[in-house]
Amino acid sequence: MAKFWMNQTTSSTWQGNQVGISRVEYELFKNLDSAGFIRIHNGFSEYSHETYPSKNSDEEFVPTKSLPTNRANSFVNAKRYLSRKIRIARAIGYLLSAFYDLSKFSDFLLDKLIFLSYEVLRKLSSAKLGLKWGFSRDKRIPQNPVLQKSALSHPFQNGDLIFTCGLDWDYRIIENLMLIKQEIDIKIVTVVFDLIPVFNPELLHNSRHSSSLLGHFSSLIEVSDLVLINSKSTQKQLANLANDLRLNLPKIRIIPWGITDLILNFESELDKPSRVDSGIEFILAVGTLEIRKNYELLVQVVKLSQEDKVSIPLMVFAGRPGWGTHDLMQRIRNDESLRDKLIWLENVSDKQLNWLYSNCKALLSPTFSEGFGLPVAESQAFKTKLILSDIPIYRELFSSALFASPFDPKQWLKLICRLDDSSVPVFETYTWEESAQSIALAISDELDFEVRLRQRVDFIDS
Amino acid sequence: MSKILYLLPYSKDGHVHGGKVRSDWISRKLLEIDKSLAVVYVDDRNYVSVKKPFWRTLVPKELAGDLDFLTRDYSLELLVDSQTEIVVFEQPWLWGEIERIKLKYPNIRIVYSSQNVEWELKRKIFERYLGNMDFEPIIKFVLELEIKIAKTVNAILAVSAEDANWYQGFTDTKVILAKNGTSLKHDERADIRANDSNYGLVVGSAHPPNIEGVITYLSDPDVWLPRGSFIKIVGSLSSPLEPYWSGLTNRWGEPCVELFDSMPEKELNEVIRKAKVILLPISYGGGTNLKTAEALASNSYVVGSRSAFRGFDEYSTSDGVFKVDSSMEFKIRTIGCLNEVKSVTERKLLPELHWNNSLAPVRSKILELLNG
Repeated sequence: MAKFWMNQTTSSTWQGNQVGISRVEYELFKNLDSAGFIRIHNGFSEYSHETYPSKNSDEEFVPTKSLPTNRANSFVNAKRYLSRKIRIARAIGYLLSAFYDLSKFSDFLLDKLIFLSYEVLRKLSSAKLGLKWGFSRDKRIPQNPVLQKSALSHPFQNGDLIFTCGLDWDYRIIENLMLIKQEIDIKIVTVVFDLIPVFNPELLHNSRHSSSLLGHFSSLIEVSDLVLINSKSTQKQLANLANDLRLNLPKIRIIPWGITDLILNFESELDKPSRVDSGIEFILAVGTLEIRKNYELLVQVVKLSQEDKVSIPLMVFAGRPGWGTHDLMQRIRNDESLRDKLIWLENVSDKQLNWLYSNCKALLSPTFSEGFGLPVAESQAFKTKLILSDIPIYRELFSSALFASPFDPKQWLKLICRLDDSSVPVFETYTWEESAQSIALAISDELDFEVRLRQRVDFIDS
Repeated sequence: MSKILYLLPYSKDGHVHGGKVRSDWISRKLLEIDKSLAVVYVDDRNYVSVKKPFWRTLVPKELAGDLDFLTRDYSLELLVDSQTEIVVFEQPWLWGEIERIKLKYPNIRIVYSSQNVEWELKRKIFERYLGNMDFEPIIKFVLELEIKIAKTVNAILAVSAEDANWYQGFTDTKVILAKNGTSLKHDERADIRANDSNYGLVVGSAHPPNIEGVITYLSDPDVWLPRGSFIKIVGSLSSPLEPYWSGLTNRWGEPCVELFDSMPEKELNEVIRKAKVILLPISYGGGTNLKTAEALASNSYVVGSRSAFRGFDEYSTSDGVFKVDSSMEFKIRTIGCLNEVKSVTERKLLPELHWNNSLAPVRSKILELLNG
């Protein structure tokens, strides 16, 4: 009988709270009844639901079936791949460590040290040419894993369906599935969260990453039998991309993403961050501090309100430090005039986020580009007022919010000042169970393959 | 003795670049007029300068070595005699020789064959590679040199309308537009659907705009090229890419780049003929790109940057031709062409792109000078 497989490589190896794409993968795994889950590590290995780890470490994974793997020819995890030179340098390092009894150093530290030395040597040796032509090869991104057709170990049989929705580009999931699909008759269901890397590559931290994602999307379009996305805007972009790449557009279904149980049951799950005083009026922005999120504009709004002598609520940023905003972060930390006007909370727990959502006067998202806007959707469980960037995706998904240009702080200030007069927008929110139902229905409709919902079991949320 | 003397600032070695190809076709045109045409390749590789010119203290040799010709004396006036009526010189760097010839033979007619508006190109290159270093004295020097040439010579050949307009500002004589062309013939076109054709081809020399163009528009081919396809790079452009791209494999472990420092002409024609897509990743520059004409005359798909279509803009919307602005779009179009299963609908044969036709105005002008 044909089996339904879910790839859990991302969420099962994720460190820390499940957020973003990892959370989507994890939540859907909890709700869809699969034969088990698979991870890519020396080929696709099969695991039962019961082995899903309470912590995220390799040691706790025990494959249900041991699969024949040939080390020399097996898959190589892209993240673990090291170039030959680095491997040689590392081997020498280990030999030295054995010789000089440096075992007190952890492998990790040693690896880092050797990698660093290698990088310094490499940079020195290539500096002449690099300087001459004004470029250098970016080694931060791992080189390609070498995949060999003869070594495709996997548990799939003819007729099986594989559903994958993680950080698949990091693990070369699609490329591997492409090779397997040539050998046996499998169906592949994938997810496109957004096409920002292709249509706004300037918002990514380096060009190799956006090129890599172009390659990923190109292979994904080619290999997928069904692609799940969450908006018409992304659907249109995907259709345009497929046309430009001269690839047949696979079947597409729009699926709403769910909101975690923790948020839906928020009344018993609140925890006030200590830096925000009770009773104080504040407006909130949630998400990693990176260029794409355009936090710079909100800092300008605060400065503008000071200049115009207009009183606005305290601005609260909740998000981890991201790339390309070092100067902004320094400014937030050091600018004394911002001290009582803006608070940046770097590490916010889910319960603290619930408190922020439920007590804020409005959620602000001045992003330049977005795939879905999970914080915006989550905030709707709390009936939060919204001021959003005037971009197509937000217009489509949150049409009754207030909108302002991501380039015009004056518009934002004006809307913030009028918050008392605005009404709370009404949007439909979904549970992950409902998302899973939609996915099962889409797969049944489009691929004539039955996927059932799981009986809920107690998963240990990380 | 020859009526026409043609001076080239190139060494006559096996190394081929666009400038040499163009001058080769100009010399064929001149040969039609003067069977005893004398073509002089000025090879300065072993020349030892006594005095270091001022630009050498400002910029490295790689970026301004061509100016060194101006400091040297090759005594080329010894090649001129009373029979010589016209001296054609390629690029401005042999101007010192021309001045000496002109001094000895004041009635001789001089034709300047331009390949770029050089001061503009030099500025773009210096800005990119030297940042804030003070290179303005060199730019000023080259600008004044080009103005002086334009004001002095009897005829100017330009490769694009933009270049011609610039030179026209300094002379009353009509500047001749002699575009770059191609020798590719219609009947040489191959079937690009063949299995061994699934590659994108870049042909170019190690000229800074070519190197920067490849890095800008085709960076990281290992992560975006589709399975079973690759990029073939032919020409001295391969050398600076070699440390980075040699042995590069794609996401499936297949080789995805082939580098050829040089290639016999016959083989190169075959490679051009078979290419599924010809890539023109030129980041900036003046003049026109010789490879663009070749690509347009081929039956391959063509993906080119905006700069690559300088002088060929009217063809940029032809069937199977994509003029793009960004690196991402370049890659998308390249993948699209490599995935394409349909052949290019026969592009309208462009007879004006053949060297014979594109250089026809050169013949007319030289004849006019000889008869006038």
